[in-house]
Amino acid sequence: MFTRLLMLGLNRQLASISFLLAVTLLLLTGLPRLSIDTGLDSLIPANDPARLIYERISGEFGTDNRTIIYIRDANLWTPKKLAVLESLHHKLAGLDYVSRVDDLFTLHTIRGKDGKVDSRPLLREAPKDNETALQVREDALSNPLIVDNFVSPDATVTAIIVSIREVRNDNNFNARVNDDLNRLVASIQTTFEEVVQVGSPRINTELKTSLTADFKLLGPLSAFVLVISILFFLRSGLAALIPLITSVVSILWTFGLMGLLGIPVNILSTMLPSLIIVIGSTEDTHLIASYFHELALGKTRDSSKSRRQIATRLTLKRMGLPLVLTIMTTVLGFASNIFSSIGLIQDFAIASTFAILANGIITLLLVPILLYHFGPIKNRVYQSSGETKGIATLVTDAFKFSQSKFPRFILLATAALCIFFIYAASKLHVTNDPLSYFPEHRPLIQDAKRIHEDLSGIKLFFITLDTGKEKAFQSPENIRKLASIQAFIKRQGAFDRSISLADYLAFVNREFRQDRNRLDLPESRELISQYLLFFHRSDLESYVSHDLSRANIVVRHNINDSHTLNQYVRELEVTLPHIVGGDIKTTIVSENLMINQAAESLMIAQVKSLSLLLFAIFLIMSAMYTSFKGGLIALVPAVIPIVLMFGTMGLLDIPLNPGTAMVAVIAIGIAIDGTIHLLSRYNELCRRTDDYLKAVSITVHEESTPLVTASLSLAFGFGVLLLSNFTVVAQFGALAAATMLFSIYANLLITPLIMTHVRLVGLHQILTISVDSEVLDNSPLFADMSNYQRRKAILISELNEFEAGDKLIEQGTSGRNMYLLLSGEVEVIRHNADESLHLATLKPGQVFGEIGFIRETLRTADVQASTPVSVLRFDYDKLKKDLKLFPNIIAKLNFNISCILGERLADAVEAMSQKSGNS
Amino acid sequence: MANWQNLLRRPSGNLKKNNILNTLHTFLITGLLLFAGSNTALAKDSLTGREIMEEVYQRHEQFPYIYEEQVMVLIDSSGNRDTRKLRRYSRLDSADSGRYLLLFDHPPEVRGVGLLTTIQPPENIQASIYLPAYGPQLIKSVGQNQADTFLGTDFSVSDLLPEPLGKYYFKRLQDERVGEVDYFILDMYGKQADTDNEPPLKRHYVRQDIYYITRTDSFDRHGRLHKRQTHHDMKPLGGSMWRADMVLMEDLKAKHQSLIKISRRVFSRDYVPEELFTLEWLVNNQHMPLPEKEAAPPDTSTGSHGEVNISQAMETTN
Repeated sequence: MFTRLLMLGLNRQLASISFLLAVTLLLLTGLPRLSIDTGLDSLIPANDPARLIYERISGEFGTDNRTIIYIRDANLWTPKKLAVLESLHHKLAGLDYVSRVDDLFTLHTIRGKDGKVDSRPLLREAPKDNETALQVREDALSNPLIVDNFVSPDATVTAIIVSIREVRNDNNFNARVNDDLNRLVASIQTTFEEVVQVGSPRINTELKTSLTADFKLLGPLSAFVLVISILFFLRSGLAALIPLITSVVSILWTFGLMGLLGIPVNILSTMLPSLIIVIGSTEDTHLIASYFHELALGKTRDSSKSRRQIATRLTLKRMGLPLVLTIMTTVLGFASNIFSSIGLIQDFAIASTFAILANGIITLLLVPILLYHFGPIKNRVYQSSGETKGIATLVTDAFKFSQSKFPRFILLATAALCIFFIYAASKLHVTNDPLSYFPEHRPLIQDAKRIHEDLSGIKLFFITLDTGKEKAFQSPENIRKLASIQAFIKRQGAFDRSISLADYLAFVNREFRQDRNRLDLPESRELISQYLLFFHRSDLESYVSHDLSRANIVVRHNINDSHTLNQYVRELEVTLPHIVGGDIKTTIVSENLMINQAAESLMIAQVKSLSLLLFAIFLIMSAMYTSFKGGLIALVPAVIPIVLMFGTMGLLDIPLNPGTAMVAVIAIGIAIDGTIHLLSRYNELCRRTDDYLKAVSITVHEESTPLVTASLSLAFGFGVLLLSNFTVVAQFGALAAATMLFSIYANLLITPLIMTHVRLVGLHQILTISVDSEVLDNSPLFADMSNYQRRKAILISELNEFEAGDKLIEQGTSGRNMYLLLSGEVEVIRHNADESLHLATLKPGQVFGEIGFIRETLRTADVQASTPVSVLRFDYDKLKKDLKLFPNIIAKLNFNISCILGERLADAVEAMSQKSGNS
Repeated sequence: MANWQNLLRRPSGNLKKNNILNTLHTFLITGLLLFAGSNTALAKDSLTGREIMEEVYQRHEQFPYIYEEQVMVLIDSSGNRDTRKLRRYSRLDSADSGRYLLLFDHPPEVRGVGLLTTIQPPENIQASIYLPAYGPQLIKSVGQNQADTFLGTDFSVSDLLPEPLGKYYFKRLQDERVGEVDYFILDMYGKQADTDNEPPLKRHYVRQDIYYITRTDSFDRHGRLHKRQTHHDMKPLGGSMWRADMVLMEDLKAKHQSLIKISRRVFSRDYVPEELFTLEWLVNNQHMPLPEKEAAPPDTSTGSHGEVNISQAMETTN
């Protein structure tokens, strides 16, 4: 049935093509509905309880969606330039989505001088003369609430902070806002030395622009790299074309489905075309390489049509199971990311899982049909002996040499390497900050850095103190608590600036006292209340609730690394209760913080996904090779590249981010493919030979070309992602490429070394083995064994076939093999001097050679095939080895062998007693 | 209007004669009213902006001594409200000089805070603030610009003072009818302004029937509307004088509102003694609210809804 399923594409060609066409047409209808999402929401776990708190706090103290317009000019404070800024202010305020503009024209200042106190806007309108302009400059510089926040200490830079009221469900909102802001910025650029704007709309728009650029670049480039690498390794135009066809169809299916399901394209989805092309092509490559192999082994005198048809069928027969397994494991790799609580990763996981599954189905249905009808006849990869030629051979030979010469050293070296890389991986840190998605040299990052250097960072978070009591922040004690928190923040030295109600009160107090050197807090509730009269509610709404029961400290920073940010925030969280006491509830929140804190869940999700995937692969492999040990062994070559990858990340200080977080699971899913191909082939070869080393050697020889080809193609394909506009995608590409190279090392050097020590039996072989059940039922060797156990026992043995006249056992030789006759007849002939004594004719189900199996002794008779026969050969040493892997089966076999021997002994004793009776 | 009716009133005779007389009477009255109306309309049409403003001031700014108890509600952009109780003392010493004191009674933490404003010729406005918690001193110059808002409200000092007419030019625009009421529309400019090219400082909506400014729009230098003051709960005080018991100031940019509700108004020199406008009075806790029985002599105070015994009030102007 399984084979029938594999052959479905070939056997039902028209139906398969119709099915593929119908699905393609159906999913194509989803393409127009495809949307792009670069919003920051998808970076925050959907179930994050901080979301609600954030919404409440940002509703009360104002949004943290703020864009900063940075204006630098050595002569900023002239009536003309300030008039331009005033005009800009009004234009900004006139934008329908702008909820607030904070700048020189909205700032309130209080100035105590000559016994008078001036409480007024810093600038109601642009001054008319230079003197007033310079006075405003002086006023601004004397106000600690303004310096470093709105004006640089040297007064050459000022900032306009634009609060944006976000419009949900408008895909073009950020682009529209960014365009408006850019237009306004451009309109004043000639007046000032430098004007830039940085904020969510720009970040979002640049994410979208980069995403589109990536989309246009990466897919085609991956396709190009794929074609080149396949042409290089397989040297066939069609071999390069086939993966392209399956990839294009898979891409259409995937994006069509995303459109239908409403899954938006995000920055990770830009990788999808590349991933589909690169990963999807591995199955095609294996199929095509196997096709070439079969072609090479086939009879050359057959017609072209017949040769390609036979080769295709044999390929499917041979490759079907590993193909299905590899598709399953790769799908699992992608699917394991579905458990991520970060929407960005989850959406990508759903889309990519479907993509790989779809690619698998398309490959299984379409590639055989294409090979069947159009498969190339000229094979430049395999020689007629099945030997490979080309660069892959060089790689293989190099590995084979090291493997045979220094196996122990290789294993030890690998173990040492793994230990070192595990240590290096311990330095791994996580980040989820959107700005870290962009490369350092990007103008956006440079602009953000400049704002941070001249003023304060563009990112912010809120620390809110909730007393639950009205007018609590009229109390000097509570105001002092705010100041203490700020003092602690300053001591931390990580954040640029914090502002709270305490700053405002200290400032008013200073101006009233008219002592510039002191920034003391007012000492009585009444004075605080009376000072507060000097502020408009809008001046303080970001810092204190209307009923004065809650206060808010706004902290600005430019930390792009979630790990560092979270560390400092955690430190704050621990310290806050000590400062404020038990009666005041504190919360630290902001959208940026939630995004960064999601990095922690990234790590948790990573561990979860990895464990789950490894467990799933372990289960699958254990089931497929009917041994838990087998499952465990199969994991080893898959885990090594991952250990090396994490170690590389630690060594090169590459953080775990939404991009790199997926490499491990995806890479395991792909790396295990090579292992599956190797194990499947080895397992198959072990059935025909008792020389495991030879089986390993043949396996490596046969599989190395597709394995190296696929891995190098994957590495090149992933390497293409280095050209991405996103650091996260580039890092993903680099690491995935490196992991593919590591997987060549693991699969061609470590897997063969492990393989020589194991003998696995495939579930598929057990289920599909064709043996006469009557023979098994009647055979004493399989007495009291279930059908499954019998089949497994058969597979542990070796299947040998002999022609009539062939000697299976030769008298006088020593051998520790025992045989079970499956079909045909053998004669047992004993030679005594010149005469030959026919002892018996054995029928299917009967066992022979059991004495030699038990004890090393010379064979006492010849066993010769009188008809073509097939026998199962049980090797003593092999079974002894297999006892560790299949203890139940071997124990059962040994028991039955002892029964057979017992029977023989009883017969012999009886015969002897008869003989002695007769004599 | 009442005098005219008295003049035209005739003693009643028999019914027929009365009917004829009544008919004639009606025609006569109608004719006279139409004549008078057309004369008034003609007179209104010919008024300049300045004349309208003079009429406004003449009608409504007659009392030099006013004591008011106010409730001020500050509403922020989120709709949160802050309520303060205040007293306002106005004392006009001459046509171009006067003193104003605004005293906070509630909330308790700000009780005693005072804003003292003096106007001295020529149109020099000085403001000082007194913070009891800060110490016994008046802090001068609360705002450099009299258009700046004070003490967290949307009102500026000048919003609550009569405009010095000599300082401005009032350009009359096309009259407007809003609902059932006709308005003079006056744009206010600085004296030297180029009225054809510069935006006005303010636009007054003056009710034609009572010459009362019920709405004032304030503009910035670029002609953008940024504040709007409207008067509500209009009450006639007798004669031609009206007062609004509720004044709303909206900051359209910041989306704030400040509402002043006058709960009590007394036109009396006794309520606004001269010593009130001194630091000594403020410091010596004399600003504390007076007991109710002393605070409101029944003959001169408004009712709880701002009703006023105008005849008594008129006496206080002498």
